[in-house]
Amino acid sequence: MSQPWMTRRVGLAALTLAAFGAWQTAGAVGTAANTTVSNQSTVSYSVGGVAQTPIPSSPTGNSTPGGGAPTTFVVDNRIDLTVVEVGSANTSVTPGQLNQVTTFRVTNTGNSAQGYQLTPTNLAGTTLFGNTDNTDVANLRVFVDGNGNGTYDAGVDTATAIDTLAADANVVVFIVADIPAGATNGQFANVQLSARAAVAGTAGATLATETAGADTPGAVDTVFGDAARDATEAAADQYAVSSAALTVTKTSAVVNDPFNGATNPKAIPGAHVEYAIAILNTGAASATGLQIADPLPASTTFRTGGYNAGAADVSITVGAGPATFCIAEAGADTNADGCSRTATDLVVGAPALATVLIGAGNAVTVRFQVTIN
Amino acid sequence: MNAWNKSFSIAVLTLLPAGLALAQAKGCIELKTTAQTERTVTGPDGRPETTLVPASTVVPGSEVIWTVTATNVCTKPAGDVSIDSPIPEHMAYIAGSAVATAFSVSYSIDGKRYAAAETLTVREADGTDRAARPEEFRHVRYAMRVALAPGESVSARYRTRVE
Repeated sequence: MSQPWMTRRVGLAALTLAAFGAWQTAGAVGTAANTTVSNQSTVSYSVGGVAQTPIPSSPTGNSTPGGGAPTTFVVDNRIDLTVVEVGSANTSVTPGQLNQVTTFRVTNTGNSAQGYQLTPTNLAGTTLFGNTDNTDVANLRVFVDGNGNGTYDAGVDTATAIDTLAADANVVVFIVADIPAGATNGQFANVQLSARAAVAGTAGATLATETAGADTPGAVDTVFGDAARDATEAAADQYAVSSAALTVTKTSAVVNDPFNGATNPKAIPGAHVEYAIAILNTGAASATGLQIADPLPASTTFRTGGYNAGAADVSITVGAGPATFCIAEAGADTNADGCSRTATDLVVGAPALATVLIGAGNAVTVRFQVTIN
Repeated sequence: MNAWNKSFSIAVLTLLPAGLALAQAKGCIELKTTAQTERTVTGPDGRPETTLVPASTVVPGSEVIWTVTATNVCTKPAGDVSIDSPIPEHMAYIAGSAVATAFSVSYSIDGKRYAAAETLTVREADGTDRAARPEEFRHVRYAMRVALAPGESVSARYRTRVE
């Protein structure tokens, strides 16, 4: 069917052609809207063997050498755009966090400058990055990356619509949201950024409209060239709620008494009792700033020198690692090892207990001993 | 042709002071160029059919069909009829769209050297020649192998795509 031809007019009467598609979606942005395309053919010939003056064409037919006029049309405005998620990964957040960011890129793939109206929405039940949405984020806002650094800067990236985006240009857009305090570890909130073409220079306020009815020859008509023919594209991103979930278990065991020694010791006055505080993080996020404050049991006395061959008061193990030790001075933590005690409490913190210590699933056990009065 | 070119140049020089007397004299061929696009409409039988309409809603990627029609408006046959149609700026020739059997079709990139599509070459910066790509064609030339009889019309057509 794409066999154009040169033929006698007789054969040209019916210009009915098989469907070829109104247009093809070009990948590139292409010729700018309002560009005039101009064509003028020329015929040379001879009469009676004598060459004649060539004749240029016109849209309606010209037979005057030197006359004629170009056949022209104006390239129309094809509105097209893409919206993509940037980073191909979700944003990890914790419950109660404010102003958490997901990132998108809006590209003008049409052939003229456009503005865009931007709309953020919570999606329900969709699956992204292999995770199914099962919660929503709050206080959804959208901001354009005004300074072009690809990172949301509060107070700097303030525009909530794309005012003007040149053909083939792109800009980063952020969805900014607050994570509800009630969100729990392992929840996912999918959000969507929708961009709708608007008239350039109107801050997204005046939506672009497709030219209705017949083409206007010589004028720039507007055609929506996106897949759905609605001048709107959207992409989704995801917030992944990740939270530390600590379980604390405290156990005690008599380790020694004055009569039985370490063999089947009994809880009698003078016996040594070891308390073990086990902390397990079953969440997905690391817990930081961990500090243990444990009230010393009544009728007991904190036992010093219970560990490390009498050199330390507290034993700390992380996972299957070797025990580390610290000295719990009465009063101030004079050696700054993170361990100290008051008359009533034992305090174990950094650096003995590392501030970012518990990775997901790693257990910490803190042991100390008391003597029964 | 050379002889004619020479005499034509002289004639123009001679007549310039007198205005456009020569340019205004009618020639023997009327030449018409139209730009059209395909549009699918519902035909009388209810089935979709594609027709050609004046170039409309032309956006990047659109195909435009150029039709050049030559009509002999004299009483004598016109010989050596050769129609040269430049491919407009912003347009790319669609490969194979100007194939014709009764006429010789040749192409050019520079408007000087014409050749068949498969023999047209482009000289690279390093001096080597490679086959020209259809989108690099800038001219299509149709040469009639027979004379155009008085009152008769011929049409040539090719397609381009908006870049």
